[in-house]
Parts: sequence; C-alpha cells; structure tokens
Amino acid sequence: MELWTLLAVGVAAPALATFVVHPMLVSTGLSPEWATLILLAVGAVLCIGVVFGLRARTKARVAEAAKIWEEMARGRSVQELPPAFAPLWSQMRNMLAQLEMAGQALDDRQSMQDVIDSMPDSLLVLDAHGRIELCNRTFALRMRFETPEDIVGLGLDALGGETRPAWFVGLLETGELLAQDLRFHDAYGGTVTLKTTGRTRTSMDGEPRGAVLVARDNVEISRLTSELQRAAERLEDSERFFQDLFDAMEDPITVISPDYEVLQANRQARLVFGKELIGRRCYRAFRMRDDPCQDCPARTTFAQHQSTSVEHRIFGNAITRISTYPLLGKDGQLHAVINHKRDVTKERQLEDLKANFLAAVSHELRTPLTSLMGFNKLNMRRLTRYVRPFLAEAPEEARTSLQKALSDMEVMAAEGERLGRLVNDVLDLSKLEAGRLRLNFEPVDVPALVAGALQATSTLFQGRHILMVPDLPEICPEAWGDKDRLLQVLVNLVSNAIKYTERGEIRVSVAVTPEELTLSVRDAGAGIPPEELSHIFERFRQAGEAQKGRPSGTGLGLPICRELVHLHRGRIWVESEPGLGATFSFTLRRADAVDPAERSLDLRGPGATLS
Amino acid sequence: MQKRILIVDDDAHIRLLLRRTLEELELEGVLIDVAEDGVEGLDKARALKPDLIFLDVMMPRMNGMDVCKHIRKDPELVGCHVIILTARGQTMPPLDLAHGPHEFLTKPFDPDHIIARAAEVLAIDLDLGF
Repeated sequence: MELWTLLAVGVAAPALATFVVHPMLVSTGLSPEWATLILLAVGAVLCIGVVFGLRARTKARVAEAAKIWEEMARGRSVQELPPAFAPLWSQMRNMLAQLEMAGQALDDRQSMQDVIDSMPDSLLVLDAHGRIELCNRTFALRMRFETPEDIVGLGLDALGGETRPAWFVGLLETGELLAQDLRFHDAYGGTVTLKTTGRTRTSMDGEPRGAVLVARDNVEISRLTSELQRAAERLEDSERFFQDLFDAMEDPITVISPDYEVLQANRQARLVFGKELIGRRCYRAFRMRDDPCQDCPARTTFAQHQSTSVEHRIFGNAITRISTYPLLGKDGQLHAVINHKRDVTKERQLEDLKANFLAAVSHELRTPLTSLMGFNKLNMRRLTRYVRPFLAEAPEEARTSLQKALSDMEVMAAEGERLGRLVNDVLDLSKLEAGRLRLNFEPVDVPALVAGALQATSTLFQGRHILMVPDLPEICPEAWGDKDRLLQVLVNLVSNAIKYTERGEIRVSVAVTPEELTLSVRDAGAGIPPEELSHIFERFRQAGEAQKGRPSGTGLGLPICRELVHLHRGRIWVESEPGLGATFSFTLRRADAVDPAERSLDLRGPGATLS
Repeated sequence: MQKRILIVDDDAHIRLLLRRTLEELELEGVLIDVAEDGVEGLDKARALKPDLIFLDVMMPRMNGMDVCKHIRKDPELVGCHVIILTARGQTMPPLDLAHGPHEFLTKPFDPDHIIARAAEVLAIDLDLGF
C-alpha cells in the first residue's frame, strides 16, 4: 500500500510542480530558470526526506522480524506462526535439542571415561546380553588390549567363556555378585583371575538392563597382602629384636623425657627400680627424691645436645656411673635422652686395689733396691778410698782388675738408678691414669722453672759438646700450674734432648700469647722417623737408639709428660724431621688468663666429681 | 759425751747397710744401736737417748710416724734429731718441725749423703774424701 502511495506521490509531485507550481511561480514574476531551480531544490529535499523515512521504517521492521524469530526459536510463539508450520517447527526444535544433548553426552562420556580410567581397579559395564558396553583402561590393559575401545562391543565369550556364563545369569537373577573369583582369557589367551563384585543395572520399569562389575586382580591383591604381611612381620621381628636387645642389656637402661618422665625401661631397669617404673619421674624412681638431682646428666644432655656422664655414690660404697645420650627424632629435634646406668663399684675398687698394690710393690721393690745400690756405693767407696791407694805398688793386673771392678760397679749404680726411676715412673703413671694425682695449682714463674730444669740436668751435659741455650722473652707472664710437676715435665724433655744429642745446641724457649705460654725444647739429634712420631707419647716407645754408652730411659717419661700436661689442660706435641732434630712443645695457661671459677675448680682438684 | 745413733728398720739388710755406711763415724767413737720394729725402736730411744734416729716408716707393731710422734712428745728426748726414711710414693704429711720428724730422706738413699748428714747433725768433723 505504501509502495503505491509512494509511486503516486513520486509521479504526481513532479507533475504538480511542473504544470501547476512552476507557472504560478513564473506568474509572480520569477524567472522560469529560478522557478525550476527552486522546484528542483524542493524536490530534492523531499526525496531525501522520503529516503530517510523509508530507511527508518525498514529498520524497525527488520528488528520486529528478528524479535519474532527469536521468540519463535524459543518456542514461545509457535502459535503465532501459521498453523501449517507448527509440526515442522517442533520437529526441528526436537532435533536441535537432541543434537545438543548428544554433544553434551559425548562430553560427559569422555569425562566419565577419564574418571573410570583413573581407577586402579577394573570396571566393566555389561548390557543385558552380556555384551561389554563400557570398560576402563585398567581392565583393558589387564586383558592385554590396547584401549577400552578395543573391548567395548565384545561379548563375554570373547573373554574366554560362554556368552552368558553361569555367574552372569546368577547375577541377573540375584542382582548381586560378591567378591567372586572370575576367570577370563586375555587378548593373548592368558588366564586372568579377578576378584569381582557386581550389581545389576535396572531400567525405570525394573527390568535388568545389564550389570556393573568392579574387579581386583587376585595376583595383585595377594602380592600386596603378602607384602604387607611380610612388612608387618619384619617390623614385628625388628621390634622384638630391639626389645630383646634392650632387655638383654645387663645394665638398667631407660628413656627419659624432657620433664624427667621415664618413657621406656628395659628389663634390668624394671628389675632394679620396680615394674611401675614407666611413667614415673626419674628422680623419684631412681633416687627417691622430690626434685631433679643437682647434677642431673639428662638435664645437661637436653641443654647441650651432648652425651655426658656422672658418677653417683648411691647406697653405701656403691658407685653408679650414669651416662646420658641424646635421642633425636626424625625432625632432628631432641625429644628424649637415653639413660644408661652402670655399677662401677668394682672398677673403682679394682683401681683402688691396683693403686694400693702398686704402692706396696714399689715399696717392696725399693727396699731391696736400696740395699743393692747402697752396698754397691759403699763398696765403690771402700775400694776407692781404702784399697786403691795401697795398690800403687801392686802388679799391673791387680790395678787393672780394680779399675774394671770400679767401672762395673758404676754400671750397677746407673742401672740401679734406672730401676729406681722406672719404679717411680710406673707409680706416677698409674696415679695419673687413675686420676689420683692432685696438682697444687699456683702461679708459676716460668724463667725460674727453666733455670730449675737446666740445673737439674746439668750433670747430664757436663763434659759433652752440648750448648744449652735458654731463649726467654723479656717479660714472661706466670703460668697456672703445679711447679713441681711442671719441673718434672721440663726436666724430662730436657734430659731426653740431651740423651739424643751427640753435639750441638739444645734450645729451651718460651713463647707468649694472650692466653697461653708455649714451652719448647729443641734438640740437635738425629730426629724422629715420621712413622714413629705418632707413637712417641705411648708407653715404652723410644725413638731409635739412644746415644751410645748412655743409660736409656724408662720409656715412661713422655707418657707421664703427656698426662701431666693434659692435667694442666695444655697440649703437648712433637715436630721433627730426620736429621734436623726434634722439638717437643707444650702449652700452659697463663695465670692471668684463668678466670676465678676455673681457678677454684682447679684448686678443688680431680676426684671432686664423686658425689 | 759419747754420741749415739739409733737405727730403726725391720729390714735386716737396710739396718746393715746403714751400719756399714756409718762405720766411719763409729771409728770416731759414735755408738750405733739398732731396733727391728717400732715398739723396740721407741723403747731403745727412751732407754738410750740417742742424738740421731733413722726411722723407717712401714714397720710391724708401730709405724715410724707414730714412733716419731712419741719421741717428739717426750721431754727427755728433746735433743734427738729424727730422720724418717721414706719410699717415694708414700704419702707423707708436710714437714712439721715442732711435732714431726726433722727431715725426710727418700729411699733408695745415697750412703754418701747419709753419712754427710749424720756427721753434720752430730757436729763431727769427718774427712769423707769427697
């Protein structure tokens, strides 16, 4: 209709303009050219207006159409469609919906497959005819197929059985299959036994539609089971082993928590301290005290993460050594300590016995030695004083004999002295090792000590080509030690140096640091072979041969020096190169560097550890 | 007045050795007596009032330290010089000149030293040749 209007206007308007308006305009006196121009302009404006108007209308129409289409697509205004289109439209809509669902289902199926593929157990879905509708990768691989798709669609007969085996029929009837061992054949004919549990699937109306089976590999199960069992047995064995070991210990051993609770106890501990030991406070259970012991070794171990030990005199003369060791957890933290008790009464008694025995023996040895040496010396004196002067006129033979006798007696005297030293050294060393030697600590004048050592050894280097060179600092601080024992050490080192030096210089030097003094004795001897250096402080070890004609030592000098230096909390060592002599050095603490607490500890002396 | 030395030791050879060592003093007129244990030593000391006593420590019946204590307490034995012969390793009390022995000598002893000490204590000028 509008089109026709438009056409009519399109034809009428120019005609009207040409035949009516134009002559009217000319008649008003306007030139025909101007009138044409004006009309053309008006015509053009109108045309543009029409075109815009039409465009707007068209746009509105299109939008309306689109809206209708949209609503139709939503299925709401199907009734607005001509009735003939309705069935077609609804069919199309169903198809669209199905397509969409199919896509969704495809996605769902894939994700379901992913899910069931990740199961460690085999999963199998059968339809009512026993055909495989679905299975997971575990089952496919167990049956030695490459993918689940290779099995889906096959019947049960393809897995080495009947199409409808008895178990399947039974399953459909009862609706359930409980952990039954089913045998299948894999793709290569091998037998696979699976412990299978299943349920039937039923349709909406209750008809069985097939079955879902979950199966576990028997071999795998039994392997896992037996492994678990073995592991449990091993654990049990090892637990029993350690418990037996723990219980077999003859000493009481316990485990103590940071708050002094007894966490574990071996048989011996339970025997000694009672069956109800576990759970009690250790100080209560062990020592019948109300508070932790002052010198509790467990506390030390907890504080310092180090093993430690103390000795307690518990009942009468019984001495118990208590050692504690840190017990670290998996996290490296200290959770408890092991407490090990040992009765050391006998050891201590034996030590006492040994010390008393040695004292007795040394006394018993000294008495005859005194006689031997004394009479020897008397005889030498008699011969020298009362016989030799009268032999001036005697035959040569008599005089030579006398001379020989006197020289032999000198050997006897020297050996006697050596035996005496050996007895002394043995006694000293046994005292040192038993910790029975008490040092009398005091500030020691070191230059005086060196002078004393040179004085004491002066007879040894008289008449020999040995130059004794003391090398002391201008200002020498006092050392902290036992004057007599330090002199013993220094004399020992100097006499050793003399013993091994044929000719040359023996240098006794003192070096000072803010903490320590280092005393060194350097000889000009043959030096000590490298292989002997590490043994030089052991008992009865003497490097090489001493200088000819000199009595050798007791072999206990250096071990004694070492023990004495250690008692002074110093270090002793030797440096030597063959042919270049040897240097023995030891350190001493400076008296002014020892703090008062240490001083009082030193003055209390060893042996104070016994409570 | 004649000088006197008393030797108290349970070991016969030590007694003999001391006697022989002191022979040269005997030649100078010094009297030498011996006792075999602590009790006999103390009895002889009280009876003979020696100027010098050599005392062993470990002896039967009474040990040397106890003998010494009795001697030093005895007002009649004030002038008696006591030398204790000790073995190294025996723990000795610190020297106490008022109540204990006047000196300790360690075994094995040097006879030269013994006679020199004895001569000195007895104030006898002796040519010992060394």
